[in-house]
Amino acid sequence: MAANSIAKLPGELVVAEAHRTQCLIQYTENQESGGKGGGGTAVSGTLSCTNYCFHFEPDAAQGLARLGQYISSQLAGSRRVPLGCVREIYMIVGGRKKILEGHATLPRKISEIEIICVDLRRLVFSVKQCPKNEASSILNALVRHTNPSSLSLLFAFDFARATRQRRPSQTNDSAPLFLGVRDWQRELTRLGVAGDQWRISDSNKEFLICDSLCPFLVVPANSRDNTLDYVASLHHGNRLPVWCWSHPNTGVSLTRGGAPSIDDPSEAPDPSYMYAVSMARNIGHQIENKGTATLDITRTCGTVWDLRSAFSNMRDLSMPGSPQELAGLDRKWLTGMESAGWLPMVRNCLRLAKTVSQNLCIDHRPVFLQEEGGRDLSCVVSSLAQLMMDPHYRSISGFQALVQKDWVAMGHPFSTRHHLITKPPSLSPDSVTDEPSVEAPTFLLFLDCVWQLSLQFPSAFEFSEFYLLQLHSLTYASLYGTFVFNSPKICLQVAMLSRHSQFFGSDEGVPDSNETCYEGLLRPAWGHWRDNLTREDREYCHNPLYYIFGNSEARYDFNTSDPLPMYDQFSSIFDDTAPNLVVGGSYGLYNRDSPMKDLHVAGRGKTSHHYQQGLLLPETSGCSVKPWLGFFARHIPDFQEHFAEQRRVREREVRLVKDVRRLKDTLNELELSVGAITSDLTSFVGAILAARERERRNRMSSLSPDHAHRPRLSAMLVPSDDVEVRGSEVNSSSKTLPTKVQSLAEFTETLYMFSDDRGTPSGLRKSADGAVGGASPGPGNALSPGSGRSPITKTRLRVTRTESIESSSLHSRTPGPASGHIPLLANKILIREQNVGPEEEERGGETAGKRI
Amino acid sequence: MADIQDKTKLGSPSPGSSPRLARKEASPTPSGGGGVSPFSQRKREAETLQEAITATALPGDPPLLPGELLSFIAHDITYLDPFLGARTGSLYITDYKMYFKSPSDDKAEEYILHVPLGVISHVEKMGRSRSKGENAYGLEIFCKDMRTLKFAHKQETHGRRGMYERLQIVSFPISYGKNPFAYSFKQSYPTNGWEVYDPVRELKRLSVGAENVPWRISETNSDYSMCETYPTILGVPASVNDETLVLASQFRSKGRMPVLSWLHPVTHASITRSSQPLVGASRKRSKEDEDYLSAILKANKYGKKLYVMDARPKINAYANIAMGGGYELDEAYPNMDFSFLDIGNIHVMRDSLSKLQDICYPDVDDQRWYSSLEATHWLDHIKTVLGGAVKVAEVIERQRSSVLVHCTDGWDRTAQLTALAMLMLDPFYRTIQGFEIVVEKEWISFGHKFSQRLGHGDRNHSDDQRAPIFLQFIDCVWQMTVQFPYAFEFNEHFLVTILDHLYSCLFGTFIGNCEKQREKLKVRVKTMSLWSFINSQVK
Repeated sequence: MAANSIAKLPGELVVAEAHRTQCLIQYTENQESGGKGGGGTAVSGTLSCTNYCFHFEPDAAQGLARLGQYISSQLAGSRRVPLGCVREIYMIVGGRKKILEGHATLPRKISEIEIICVDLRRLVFSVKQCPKNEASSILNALVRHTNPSSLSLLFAFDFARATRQRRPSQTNDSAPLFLGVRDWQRELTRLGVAGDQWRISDSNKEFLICDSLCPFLVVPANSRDNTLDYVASLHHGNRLPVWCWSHPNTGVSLTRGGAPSIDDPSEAPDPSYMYAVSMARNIGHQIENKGTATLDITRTCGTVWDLRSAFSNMRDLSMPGSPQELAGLDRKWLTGMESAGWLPMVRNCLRLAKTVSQNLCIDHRPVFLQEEGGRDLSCVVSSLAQLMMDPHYRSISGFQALVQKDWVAMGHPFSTRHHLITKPPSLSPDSVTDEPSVEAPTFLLFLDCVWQLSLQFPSAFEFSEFYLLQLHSLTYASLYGTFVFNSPKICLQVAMLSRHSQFFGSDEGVPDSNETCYEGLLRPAWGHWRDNLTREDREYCHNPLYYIFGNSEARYDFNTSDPLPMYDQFSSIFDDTAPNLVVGGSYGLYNRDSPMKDLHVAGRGKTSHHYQQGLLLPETSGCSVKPWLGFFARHIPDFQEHFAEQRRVREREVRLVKDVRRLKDTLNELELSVGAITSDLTSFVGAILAARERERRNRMSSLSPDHAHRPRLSAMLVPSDDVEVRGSEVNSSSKTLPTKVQSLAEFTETLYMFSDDRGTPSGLRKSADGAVGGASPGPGNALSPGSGRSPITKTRLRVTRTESIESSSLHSRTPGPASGHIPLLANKILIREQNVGPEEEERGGETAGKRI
Repeated sequence: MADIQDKTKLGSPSPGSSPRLARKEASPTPSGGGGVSPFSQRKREAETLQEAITATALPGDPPLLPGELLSFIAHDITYLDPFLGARTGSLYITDYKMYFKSPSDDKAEEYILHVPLGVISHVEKMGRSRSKGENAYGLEIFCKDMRTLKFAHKQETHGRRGMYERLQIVSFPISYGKNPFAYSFKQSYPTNGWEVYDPVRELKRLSVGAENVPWRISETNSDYSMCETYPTILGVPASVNDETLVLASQFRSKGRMPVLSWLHPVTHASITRSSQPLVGASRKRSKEDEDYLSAILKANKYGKKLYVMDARPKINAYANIAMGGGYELDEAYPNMDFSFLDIGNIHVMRDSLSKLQDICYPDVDDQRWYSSLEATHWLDHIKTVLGGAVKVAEVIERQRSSVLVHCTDGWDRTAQLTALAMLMLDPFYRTIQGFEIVVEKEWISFGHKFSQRLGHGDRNHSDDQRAPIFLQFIDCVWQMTVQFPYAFEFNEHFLVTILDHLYSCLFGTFIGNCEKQREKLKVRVKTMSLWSFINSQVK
């Protein structure tokens, strides 16, 4: 019954239910401080399993509160986790833990189920009290749907079938898939690639040249189709060097492909083909031909096997089962993390991508990236390099296009690497046999590298850390067809087969091309996947700083074929009045010229110069590559409050950015409409300001001095949404408004102005729980940082009590900061308080009444 | 908005090292305070004196601060930058800074290095006059801000000795019987930073002395007879009279009795600080001290216990018994809760920082960065200090009980803990002005021995009384700003500016060991306050 009430996706069916299951919350932060140690609490409810996700519904409302966000994924909803995100399922029988796989017969007395998720979360359910048959049926269902035996059993197919009717008939507005000739053509045009240098060949249409690449290949213009076969045969996996990107000014290119196959060492890669690659450049750029820089990825960055073991080491460090275990890990965490080998891989990828960018953009030298299979770390490096060089890919739509172009279309084996099915697809066995069929988080490595970039260049990306995390879940969730195949070939084969097998019913017209066939079978994720998030979460995917300092004005529309602006125009995109932004990421907030700079960032070199040209060259030294706590520590209870605080801060920034934009718009309107009477307006504003100033002085003097100097207890560390700037009531000139926020530091300061009621002669706020005599100061007053060291730190940020955490969070019942904000804005803009609590009402009313 | 914009430019005369900053600094010309007549007279004298020296200097080099005199020039010197390679140029030494400039040429841009002399820890000669190899002969300058600078001289000119001697004299003025540069600095600022902190005003802000508040302001120490290293104005429980205070102070090391740091405005839970009790091997007790502590306990109507937090590791506290100190005896103080916060002493911190320095400068070992960072234990110490402060804040906030913090002398670890706890509890201290007050109050007025811990102008660089305690405090504050990005009015740059001028000796703020000594040195009269500079940039 509980399971019926949940909002299911189209095509989602409940397969099994287990009543009277208990979710064992292993430990939470509160218990830890209560001294109970490893003892957890149990919430009883119903565990259900659909063909898409598993779901736990507590029986009582009390359990709901206790559960909180414990079992949740933003993608699937609260208390739901997509089965694709399940990595391993264990059963605990008689105190022994056994991994549960495919067709194992289930023992009779199972006491607990332990589910390990790909986002490093461990969920334990006790099935002791649940009816016997239900327990085994839910286990069966979990195993069957988590790792089905064939691709067509994935939920993506059910979902696509169910939503087929709603699919927009026009595909014009969708993101590029790079499976058809059109998207490649647009990309070439966007980068200003001349037709006599590169051409699009359709010779791989039947996947005869290379079965892991996409049907259309961009190859040197002077190569003939009948030689491509030969060139391909000289490379591993038949992956001939194909075009990825060209510098829009010089036309110098980035190509990637398989390493030369070892079978015939005497034969070097076809010299004429490679010569054509190295010579391709724009007319008018007479650059000395230095030859192609060939970078071997396997040698510098390692293999998927290294990646796999590094990740499993990280996993051991990131999943403590109890506070004691965490304390043990904490003590040796830095050393442990370093020896895990994950960070060096991140660093090597960043470093190699940086080398690629330097070669292309500074030395004007073409680059050929080779990797044995050419389908794993070369995806990471080539897409990273393009992110560093091309601002277009740093927008959300551009980033998605990049992932589609360099990962999906280039045949990154998502299905194998993410272990989506238990055995190779029976429909069309992958004929590439030399590629290791190993499960490894290659895509996560890429996301981690992108996060490192975003840390060092906080305003360069349109998306946030949260977006990266959601994208990670999406690649596992098998909700859309984008990430379930090993290569475009398999994707299209499945699509063709299913069309014949009445997969879509008879009304489906015959698709006119492979691409539409693909579209018909599985909706690609890009246009729609964020619809699965809540509105707040969608907003949280965006990086507010990007809209202020980044590239917001120059937004590229994919449908127009406007060429990318030439590189020297980029300087106008980045605000060159904010040089402090540039180097060393978050440290760039501040002046880096302090003698202490070497403590933080090895920030030297000429990054700033290049950044203004749109080129990001990150620092890659040991201390500038940091562990991605947002991923690896996301589900450690002690960090929960830290991440919640981070989110509150970001949301505040988003609101502020919106306000600034609205003010800007209003100002523009005003300037237009006011026109001739500007001078009148100025004097009018002057009068208002004078009146306000008088008002302020009166108010200050009406307070007794000691009162005025009281510590302001109501200063909320947790900003509540009480300040709303009403743009329509702006009556001031642009000089005094924060429309010209110019540097990040300044922006931070502005936020501070908002987040703390400085200058407020406010009184004391009673605590939310009505302590004796209203004596306890309000929540959020005390800062208690975890006794943290920077990296693992017990960086838990506790606001004094749990209730107050909840109450002071987004939809607060708590009284907002005391009224009487005099941030800078208040002089000019009307600030309206909402949520003035009962205690505040009086005082708030008093001061608010005096406002203009 | 205006003040915010200014804030980002904060740090005009900041002792940075990079070309960009130095250029920025050159723009506000040294004639800023030129309107003052005695100053312009002195300037004229200085000009004639300097004419000979400056004859060889390029015009505009080096940019001088008001009151700064050029005293040494050496050309054709090579600075070995660990990152950018060797640069050859001219070196200028004034009474405030060392200024190296390499002109731009085909290969490289102009290069300027700018080091306040106060930052120099010691200077050593490298190589011998017969040393072979390029750039093997010259000076190596070790700095307090983690840098090591290497200058190479031409062997044939023997220019090294002159520079070495000059550097010795100007870098360690106190060892040579002179005043630090702060006494010659003649910049005038629109705000007076010495007025930022007024102990009476601050105690009144905490409602000390107000009606129904069981605390009062005492001026017993106005002639520093009760305690030499305390300020003249103290907050004490209202129920204790001045005579008892004097008696009670005798039981605490150096007379540093428990006095008020912070008072909770509602519960009147207090943070007090002191030095260790003089228990000694004979397990002495003092009736006055016991009564005094219970008066502190009773001044808070909610707290059932007084939490006495000893910042030291227990073993250290125990070791102090042999030297006449120790810790409070359980049986002597009923209703008290004793705990040890396990923070190492100044020697531990100094060693830890020096290890950190080794792994940070000039080269970072990528492969082993995190494990070697862990091995320095610097972060562990930060964690312990922050953790201790959280304990203090939690007792005040959650249990509404009062806390007494002490260590051995009560001027190092104690200052860290009380100041951090106050930052955690009171939003006022998280403003720029509030933070300045915390530093003035908890550190400067309560006698953190800045001069000794930093070794201002003192050539005895191996003095074991030097320790980076204040640096550690600033690091802790920085950790808090990372965890609560919008809770503070100031940013990292503000903190770094404070650290820069902690060593630079441009301002008098960090000169002297205690208030009594500062009065003797006439610091407030003869030097500028760092807060004058900062506040005039902010507003």
